[in-house]
Amino acid sequence: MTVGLDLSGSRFRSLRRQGSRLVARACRSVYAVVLDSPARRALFAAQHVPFAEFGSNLILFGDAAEEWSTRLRVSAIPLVVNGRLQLDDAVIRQVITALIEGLLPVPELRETDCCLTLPGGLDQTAPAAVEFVAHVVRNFGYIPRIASGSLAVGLSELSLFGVSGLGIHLGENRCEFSVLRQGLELTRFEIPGGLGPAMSAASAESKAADAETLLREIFATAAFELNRRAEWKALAPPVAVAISGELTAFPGLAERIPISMQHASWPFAVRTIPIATECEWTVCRGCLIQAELEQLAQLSRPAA
Amino acid sequence: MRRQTAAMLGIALGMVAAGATPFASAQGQPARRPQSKILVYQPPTDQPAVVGVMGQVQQPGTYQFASAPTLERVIAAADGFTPTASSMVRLVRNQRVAQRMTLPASAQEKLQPGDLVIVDPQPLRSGAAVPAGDQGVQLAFLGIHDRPLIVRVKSHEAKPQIVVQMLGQPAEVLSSLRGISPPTRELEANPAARNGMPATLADGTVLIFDRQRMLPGELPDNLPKILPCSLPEPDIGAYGIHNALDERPRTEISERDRIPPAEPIPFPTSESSREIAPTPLPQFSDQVPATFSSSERSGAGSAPVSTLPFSGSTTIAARRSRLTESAPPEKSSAADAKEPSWHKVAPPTDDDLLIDDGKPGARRAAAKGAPFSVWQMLAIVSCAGLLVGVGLAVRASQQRERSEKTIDVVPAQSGQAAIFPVRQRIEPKATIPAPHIPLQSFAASAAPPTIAATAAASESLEIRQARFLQLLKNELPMMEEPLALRPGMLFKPASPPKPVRRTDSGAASERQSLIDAPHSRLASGPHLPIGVQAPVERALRQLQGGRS
Repeated sequence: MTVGLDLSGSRFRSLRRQGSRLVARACRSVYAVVLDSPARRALFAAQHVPFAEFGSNLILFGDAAEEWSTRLRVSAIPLVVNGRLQLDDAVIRQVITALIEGLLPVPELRETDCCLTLPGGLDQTAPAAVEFVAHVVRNFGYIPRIASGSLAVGLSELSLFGVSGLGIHLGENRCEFSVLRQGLELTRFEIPGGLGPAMSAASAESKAADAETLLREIFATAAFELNRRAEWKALAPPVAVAISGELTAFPGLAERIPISMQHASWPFAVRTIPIATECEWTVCRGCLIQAELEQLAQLSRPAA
Repeated sequence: MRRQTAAMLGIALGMVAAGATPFASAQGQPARRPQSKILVYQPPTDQPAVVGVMGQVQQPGTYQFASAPTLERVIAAADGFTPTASSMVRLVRNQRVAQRMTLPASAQEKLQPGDLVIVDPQPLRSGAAVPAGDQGVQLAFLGIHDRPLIVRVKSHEAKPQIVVQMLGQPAEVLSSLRGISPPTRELEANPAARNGMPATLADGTVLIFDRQRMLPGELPDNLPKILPCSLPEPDIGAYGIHNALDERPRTEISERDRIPPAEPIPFPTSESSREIAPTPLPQFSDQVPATFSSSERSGAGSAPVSTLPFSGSTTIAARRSRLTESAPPEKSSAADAKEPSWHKVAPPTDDDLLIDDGKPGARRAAAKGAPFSVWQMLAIVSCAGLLVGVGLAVRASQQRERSEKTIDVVPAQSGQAAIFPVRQRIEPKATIPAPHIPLQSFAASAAPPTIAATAAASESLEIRQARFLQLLKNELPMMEEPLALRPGMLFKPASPPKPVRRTDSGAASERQSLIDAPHSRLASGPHLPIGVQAPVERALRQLQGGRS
């Protein structure tokens, strides 16, 4: 039973296959600290709210933290800031550990693969953060495999095109691009500075306009980077492009993405495909596909 | 003074004239005062209604009526009350207790399709006979189908986990399961105990399932069916009620149609009841499939109790004939000395049957066993034949659908799926039971979870590849479940110590560099080892129909 784990967005998600269906778990990547009292303990126990004790405080995390922070008038502290896991504090590390263990099911077999993505991607995430998350996953009984968001997007959305093409993951702080050929990542690069600045605009129209401007710059940079690399020549034109990301669900943004792409000088002809607007589970599903691939490869190998 | 009076009179006359003709048209035509429209909503009474009845009735189950029945009619369809029935009836509507009614005052209360009527038992009095043996627990399920399901399970199996397991549903359904417990002294004294699902389900509990979390394909095939109501439909016109379609005047009631004074429904009381045990539900020993290994076959000795799975449809007439055949011996023999006398099953007599369709002399005729009139017989036969025909047609269509069913696979959320819908035939169910994995995996904070290879985890490679193909094509449905967080977590201010890295004992050597992106080995070449390519190529070949 392989698992896909997505830690890259504002929500932590996990996805696994159970028979002929997919079973998903998700929670907000926030936590809240409230003062400990018998009344609050009783309240949380009555409402079946999970919490952790820490000195004279109670710590809520996940969806409970977001919900109860409003009621108790405390702030919900995000675990991912500027695309990075906040691992400086021991409490936060334990919160992340608890959330990851809550997302992962108990593995049924040894050496089960768990493919995961990190908020900072492969290149921007500090080695200590990578080691920490891998350690948590490994301690739970899985074999951690870290993948990029763009690879997960390509695996998830390019199945009808032979899992070949360009996978793009648009984030708040960075955008990832991967060139895939038959499920294999030929090349990958990131462009710092995602669509986060556009989201701070006042109105929805101005947000979409700012996002289109940013997208034009991002796609132009990506096209320039692709021209510098030769791996794209392995793709047969026209090349399918899969785009996903939490921000693609923003109203008005999905229509502007193809327009922004047309202004860039891509080294290949781009096949226009619909953009996955309901993209909450795209990256997680791609991670699960990657984990399944690894597991199938191990099963297919002859016994040593 | 006179002038003032005349002026007042003129003004009053003018106001009256203005009020009578407020909108006199310019053409001088008389205008009418606008009348407010009164709309009267007449609920459709000619649509069939399915109502469930459970609790202290002779034949609990789900019954179908030609039109919205009354509470009295529903009780009559269930062959009336048991001797231990109380006068309190609860009505569950839209998955909550909508009303609490008292009989016989609310006998004419109109019910709606999908309602569930629960007849509560009388509280046990000191000195009353305590039932011997396992009478079983009566439960009602809501949310599984569009009708209530009334079942009876053994007492030791009346637990939410076991019920969910017998319904073939995953354990995650328990998290969204709600229940309506019967009123007991404990719950009345402590209302807080109503929260949460009890560990053991009491008799008369209603379980409410979340349909979104259910797997309809995993439900057992022999769930209780809808029972037709063999009682003749009341003829509204005979009661002299004005029918807009019929346009019969209300006052014209012939002597033939005049109804006798309504007789009160004989309500069974403890003083007037004989020592008659409740009629048990039919045994289902011959329908127990092999998968329900936890339940014993009912032929083991507990005659009145039947365990899941549930019976097929039986008509009331067949049930009555079975009851008449199983008449208890009049004398208690030595073999029966061990059993209390009340435990013997006696068929209900005609006096206990609530057959009252308002026709004069019909009740007396039923009590004496005299044949019905020709018209009554024709009405009964035609109703029964119609219901049987409808039931057969529905069953045939269901069987036809089951044999040729194709499903529209609902893929996971993705924009691509809307453009490329896929149809596929239902494959035979794989006999892989869902593994029972506890949500709380381990108690110690740093101890790794115990990993045990279960039978369900070892899927064959072919099945796994087929599922992977479905995963690639985004054909697998997705359900969401809550996080499995450990209770009683205690965070420490210091950093947790680094645990020892696990080493796999056996043939495999210690895996190194586990933190790797499998496709990040760009320096070594764009292609990964053959082992990773093979399943991808095979899957892609299947996707593209042989084209690489």
